[in-house]
Amino acid sequence: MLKEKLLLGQYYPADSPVHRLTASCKILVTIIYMVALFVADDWLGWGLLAAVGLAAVLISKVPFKAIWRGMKIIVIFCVLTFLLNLFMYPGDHVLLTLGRFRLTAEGLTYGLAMALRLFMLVVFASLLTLTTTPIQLTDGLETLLKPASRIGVPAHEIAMMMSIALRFIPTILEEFDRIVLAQRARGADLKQGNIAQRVKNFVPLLVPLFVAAFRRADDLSQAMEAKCYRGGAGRTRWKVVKWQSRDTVCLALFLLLLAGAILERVL
Amino acid sequence: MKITLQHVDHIYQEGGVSETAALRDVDLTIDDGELVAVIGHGGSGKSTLALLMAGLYQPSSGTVELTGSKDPEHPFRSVGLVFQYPEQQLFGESVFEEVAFGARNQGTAEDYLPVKVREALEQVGLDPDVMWYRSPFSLSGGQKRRVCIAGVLVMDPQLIILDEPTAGLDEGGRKWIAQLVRRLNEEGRTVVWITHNMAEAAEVARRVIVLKGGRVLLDGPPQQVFSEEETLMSAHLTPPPAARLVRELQRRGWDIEASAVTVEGAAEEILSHLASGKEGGHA
Ligand SMILES: Nc1ncnc2c1ncn2[C@@H]1O[C@H](COP(=O)(O)OP(=O)(O)O)[C@@H](O)[C@H]1O
Ligand SMILES: [Mg+2]
Repeated sequence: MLKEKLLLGQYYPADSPVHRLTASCKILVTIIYMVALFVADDWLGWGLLAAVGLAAVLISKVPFKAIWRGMKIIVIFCVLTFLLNLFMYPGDHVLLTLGRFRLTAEGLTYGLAMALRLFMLVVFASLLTLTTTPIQLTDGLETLLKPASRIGVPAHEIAMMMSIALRFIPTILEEFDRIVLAQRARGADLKQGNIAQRVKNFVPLLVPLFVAAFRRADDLSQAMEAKCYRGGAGRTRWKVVKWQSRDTVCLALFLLLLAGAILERVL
Repeated sequence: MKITLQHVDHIYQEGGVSETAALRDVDLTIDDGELVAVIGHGGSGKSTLALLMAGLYQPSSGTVELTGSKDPEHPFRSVGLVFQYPEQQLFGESVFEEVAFGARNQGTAEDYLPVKVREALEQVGLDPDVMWYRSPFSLSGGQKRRVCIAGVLVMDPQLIILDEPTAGLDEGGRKWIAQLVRRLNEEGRTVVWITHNMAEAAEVARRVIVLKGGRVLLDGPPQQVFSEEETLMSAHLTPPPAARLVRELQRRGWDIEASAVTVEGAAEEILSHLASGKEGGHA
């Protein structure tokens, strides 16, 4: 089913230090980690970052199985990245020649590194969505965007849009799976015919999907209006999430990691 | 056409965090020409069973087999499934396009399509001349439901499964569905009707299968199934009012059989009891 393949990972409830971190801290840390992955340029750096990622997963008490579920497609992507770099990256130390393709030591290193970077990037991003509820995530985003709202960025609206999207993506994917089944029951065959025919095959899937999405949007906007939603101005929170000292510590550690990666690269 | 399920398990998201066993060790045979009602509480596995019987899901373990299909190479093509709330799958720009979809996918010739669509619309009681060019989205709820059912009938299925076809319909719509189900069966089709309305099942079906937590709890003629009041209660189901009435009379001392499940049956039992003049002390 599409739904199972596409999602990075839905919230996995557990009581762990990672779950307890403030969402805005986790978002920042995830960005820092991603930057560090691309700044690091040797195996010491990549190995250290992979170890940090692995440690974070272990501390979070999220089972590997839950992370792995969202990763299957990404792994194919990693393998492709590896192969592409393996044969395309220019290098002098030729290990093997296959017709027009030369397999070099540089290509091997670079290919492996790119695959590892991509893999760890997705693991870390999955960990963010697995240990943070969508509500916390959007609240965190809103907090981070607050300073920008002074220069006219609609921070609250962006966060609200993201929370609605996060809330409805699983529902819409579920709906799509149902529609596919229903049209298959009526003999629809998506893989039939030439390209024009194949595009046409999607009409019976997409029309009901859009109808459902618009119906949902309509219902939701009515419900929001009935509850007097009027945008961000003057809105207060029920649960105020406070930045804790552990967030500061965590952020500092990751900044240190990033500084290390930058230093290592320039020195 | 006969359908046989052997040791069928169906597990959603196997190995995942939210693994759900929707069906467990289901053994069932539905013979050619039967009219079966499948009842059960929400989440008991009725829809999953329908999808398995239509060949849209593969069971996690066990087998689903069809015998006597007119298309032995693709036996599941002879199964028609009307989904729960089928109007959510409407897409056509006209009722004709909507109904023709299934027949076209079967490879019916373009110039023969109107004949088949006309037939299917007549079967569901819609006037083809009025409906033909109308947008299905502009129809009323009941009419949409009929168009959807026509869209399955147009494929001329030998086994037809209807997943809660009366859900959300008014009294007239419900009565009409019951009649349609009977007629489809009289035409020689095997019919599986999923419902959670006991009275409907009792009126129409000759066999009732009760699901509870993904297992078959009861399976037999309506009289037998609805006499198991305690077992049904354990599955959060209540026998139809007529069956409860005759049971209650029996409990209060009337010497009757109490096997009726329909209003007509209950009336018979009560009248014959009154005629025999043995009401006892309660009369
Ligand atoms: N696509 C799905 N993914 C995961 N679980 C599902 C899915 N469809 C149904 N289930 C679960 O399987 C069980 C049986 O569902 P279903 O067959 O729809 O029951 P019913 O039709 O009797 O209400 C329920 O617990 C339901 O939550
Ligand atoms: Mg159902």
